[in-house]
Amino acid sequence: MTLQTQLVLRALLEHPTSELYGLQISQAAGLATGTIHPILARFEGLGWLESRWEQIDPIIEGRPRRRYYRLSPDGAAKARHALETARTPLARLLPGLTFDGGPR
Amino acid sequence: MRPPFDVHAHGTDRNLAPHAAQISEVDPHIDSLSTLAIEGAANLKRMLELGDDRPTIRYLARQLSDHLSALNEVKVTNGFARTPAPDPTLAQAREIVHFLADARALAKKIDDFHYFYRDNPKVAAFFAVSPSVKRACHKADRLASAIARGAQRTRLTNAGRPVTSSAVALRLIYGAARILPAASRSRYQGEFESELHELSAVSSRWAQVMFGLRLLDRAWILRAELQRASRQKNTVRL
Repeated sequence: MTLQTQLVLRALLEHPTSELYGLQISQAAGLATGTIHPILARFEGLGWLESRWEQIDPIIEGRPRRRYYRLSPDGAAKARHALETARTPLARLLPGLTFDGGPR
Repeated sequence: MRPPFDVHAHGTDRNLAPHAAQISEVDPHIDSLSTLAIEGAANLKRMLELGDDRPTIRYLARQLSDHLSALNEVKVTNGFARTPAPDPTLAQAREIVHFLADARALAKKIDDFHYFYRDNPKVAAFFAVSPSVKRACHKADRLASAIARGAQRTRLTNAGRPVTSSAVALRLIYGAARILPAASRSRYQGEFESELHELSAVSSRWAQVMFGLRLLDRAWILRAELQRASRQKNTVRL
């Protein structure tokens, strides 16, 4: 699992019940905007992620609808397991981080 | 005895945060300055009324009286600006700047008065406050510019800059969407547009173009992921 993928999973696991849109996930993962869609698509394809369009009227709100992502119930468990068993764990790549994202 | 126009007595010699972005940060200083100016003007006015009766002095007393009224309004305006909304409007801030200009004029007059009448024993007692008056002028200047800057930023924020996405970035994201499988094209185009719109509000056009370039760069990877997911779905169905 690549570092980027692990960072995205970690960001999603930090807010397991919240819905986040692409820019928020990029920001939470510390990745450049526009780089995470392939990762999100892979997890969505695997059933780990669920996505939906924001329920707003773009004309009234004056902005386009956002696409929100959230970990599926078993996706969260699978994501945790994947992070724990990653060949090059994030904790080794980024010393000082614990699994839940807090300082060690 | 403390001079009646002692800047330090009112605590206005604290740092005035010349780069204060929000008017709320300078509110206490406006209060201090207006209080000190009002008190100073009142003291001098009383002194002038009791003392010399020459036309120049009467004229100065009248001027001070006018400024006193204006400075009283500073407090009213300042209170009005603070109470109803966290960020005052530009018009309110401009009004405060206007009254601060009066405060500066008053301080200058008091300073001149001290200088020209320094030999008068009645005035001599107050001459020591001249440096404080100069400091008050300087602080009023800094306050005025801080308020103007804060108000300008507030206006820009409140007005909500019209969000216009970079045309180049838009073309790039449409190009990226075109690379994707037809079934997912409209969904991702909408998603990219939404993200670009969010970025446009806070980022430069260059950052938007970079966003578009990154999407375009990864569009082929995204396409592969989407095709793989589609194949997996079809396999499961079979």
